[in-house]
Amino acid sequence: MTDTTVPAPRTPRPAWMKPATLAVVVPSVAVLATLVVCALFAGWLAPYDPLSQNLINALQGPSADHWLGTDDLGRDVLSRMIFGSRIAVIAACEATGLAVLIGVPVGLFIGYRGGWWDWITMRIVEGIVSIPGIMVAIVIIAILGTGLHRAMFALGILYSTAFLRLARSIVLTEREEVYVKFARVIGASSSRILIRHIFLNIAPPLIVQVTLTVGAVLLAEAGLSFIGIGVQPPQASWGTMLNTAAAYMELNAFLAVPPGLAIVLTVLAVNLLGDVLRDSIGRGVRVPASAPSKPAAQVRVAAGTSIAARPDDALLVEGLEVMVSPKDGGEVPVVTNMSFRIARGETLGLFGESRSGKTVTGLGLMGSIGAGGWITRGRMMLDGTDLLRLTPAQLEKARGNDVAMVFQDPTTSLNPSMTVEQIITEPMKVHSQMARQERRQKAAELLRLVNLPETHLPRYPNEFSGGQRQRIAIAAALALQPKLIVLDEPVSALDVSTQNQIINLLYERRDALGMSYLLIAYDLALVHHISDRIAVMYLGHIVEEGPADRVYHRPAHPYTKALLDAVPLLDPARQRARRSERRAAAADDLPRAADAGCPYRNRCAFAMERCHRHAPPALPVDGGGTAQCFLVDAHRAGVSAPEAEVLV
Amino acid sequence: MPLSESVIGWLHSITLPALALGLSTSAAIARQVRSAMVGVLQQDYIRAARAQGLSARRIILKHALKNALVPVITVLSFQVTILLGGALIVEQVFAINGIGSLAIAAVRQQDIPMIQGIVLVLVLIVMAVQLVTDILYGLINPKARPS
Repeated sequence: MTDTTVPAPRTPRPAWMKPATLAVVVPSVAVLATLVVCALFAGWLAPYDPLSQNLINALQGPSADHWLGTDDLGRDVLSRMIFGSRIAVIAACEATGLAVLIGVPVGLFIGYRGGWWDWITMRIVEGIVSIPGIMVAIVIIAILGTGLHRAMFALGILYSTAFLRLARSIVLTEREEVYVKFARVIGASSSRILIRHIFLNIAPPLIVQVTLTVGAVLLAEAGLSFIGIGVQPPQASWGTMLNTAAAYMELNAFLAVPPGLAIVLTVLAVNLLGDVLRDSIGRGVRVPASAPSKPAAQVRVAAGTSIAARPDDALLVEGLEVMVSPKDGGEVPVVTNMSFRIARGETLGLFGESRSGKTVTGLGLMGSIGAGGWITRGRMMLDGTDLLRLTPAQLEKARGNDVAMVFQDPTTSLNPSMTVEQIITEPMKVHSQMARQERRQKAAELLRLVNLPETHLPRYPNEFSGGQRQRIAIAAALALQPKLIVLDEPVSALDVSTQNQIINLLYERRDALGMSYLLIAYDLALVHHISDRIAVMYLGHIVEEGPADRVYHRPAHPYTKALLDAVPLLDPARQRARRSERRAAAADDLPRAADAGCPYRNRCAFAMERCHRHAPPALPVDGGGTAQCFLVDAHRAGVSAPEAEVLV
Repeated sequence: MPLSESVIGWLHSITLPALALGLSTSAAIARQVRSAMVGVLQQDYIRAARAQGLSARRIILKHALKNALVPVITVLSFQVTILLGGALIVEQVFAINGIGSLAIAAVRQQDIPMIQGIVLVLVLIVMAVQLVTDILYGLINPKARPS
């Protein structure tokens, strides 16, 4: 065992500190700061009185005297813009403030109180929401009359529904939390619970909602003033300025530019800040890395050991190497120098811990490792054709036609919006010339093969149990009678009795159709039960391989022995000790592409001096197969190795 | 230009207002489709489709988009409500004699019965849209259908 300590997890930087985010935050804050400064000091900043008219100078373009020109009454546009920013700030504060003041307390109250209060209030809210927002505002203005403050009152009431629903939904989730129930049990008063426990949770989404509302209010104020029922002339607001600009569009088109730009920039700044806030609270969309393009020339055949193909090979994989690029950059090999073969009609069980590279190998066969991973060297001979040297179009043809795959979890691997018939016939549609009627017949036949009635054809996956769905997935894989089926943990998501049925089904189909299976699994007993041969994977390559019975009953590699012994110990103290030892060893357990020495030496109880110097080659084992361990040789030479009381 | 007088003329007069109204909504919907597609493309059944040797185009258009549209349809119905509100302003910009100008005139004249009528019509439209949305939702998402 090594004394390597587990590295402390890095504390992630807050989202707003990242450079890409700062590039958004800094300009947004700058825009809003300018707006507030203009609003506060409009009287000092504006070069002219925003209301003083000069009809001789009307509708002028930008000049040294009037930087943004003059409007229809000869008023200075820059000054009106600056005073307009004051209106914008007042509007945003009034309407948003009112919305929060009405929405949050009412939402908290009805959420906490529930019952009739909640029911009646929510029906009113739903009624308001089903009318276009601006129409609600217009109705309120029709009752109250026009003008900035009345219009903002109307908007405040309108947007309070958003805050009300937000507060209510948070209360509804939080009141069921254990700590709130606990507070109630120890006799804390209702108001105390509301303030202490719930208000803290409501703050982050509330801030996000406030920024969104400010943006919406600014737009609504401009809209209402534009149609003439918000701010009234001659008062300068960006909306009324747009109204003027629209009327004199043909005489001076520039008039629309300053208020238009101001509205766009301000609303954009507010919304971008809101997005950053929302992402830093953690509800943003995670974007997957784009798939790196894999140039075909990059795949090389492993130098040296070229394995001669045998006539009965269904699949021959040689010197396979797969690289992935983790999130923090760079390249890490997950499969290194991996070679195996599967004869026709044979099942090879590929077995190893999670992250040993077995699933990546299977996906590599399907040519769909996915974003962030690619094959850098090796051969994959399927019936004499190297899958890695096919053009993308040829590879698409090979998938489904020659190789098929059954995935681990049938609840997620069937498309929920397609019927069983569509799922099963999809490969036929793409790869064969069969007519629609033929395809349907074939699908019905396939369903019978997996022991399901053909009446299931028009149904959707969500109507079936896990075992039934896995049968459907198997039927789809069998559709074009592939030479090889990759089974990625085909039964581990199913319950035990269903597992048995699926395994028997797979057996039966293989023998009837003469296919080969590559079975990927972490349950050695299961692998032993189904497979003809077993390959044990450790850190991206095969450490032991041989006939299933020999590997299961007489493992030659210490790693295989350790896995077979990995049944939990009954003594908790010993189990705990073993687990912490394993964890320490696993921390040092990273794939090494170019490293002398046996990859397993740090976890091996029998590690010898030579194990640190060079990696053992694949040595033949009595009873068939090979193992990459010097102990195999030691056995043959008659040297007694420590007996198999493995503590790893 | 009314439809009864000239189809071309009507199309001509409706294009710019429709563009003004639709552009912002299309941005909102594009955003929704994107986030839904990001989620769907990470699903196992997309990997399964790839393993079946389907082309990227078939996977995206046939297997992914149909599932990604489910949440988008919901958003679409809210967007229609927002569009109706936007239409009030766009009508003003393009000097169209529509329900929006009627509403604004009614506000100016404090004509409450007229406003009540307009609100009623708008609510009926919104409810019709919601109904269609719910039906569409069931068509596109088999899980929401009674079996």
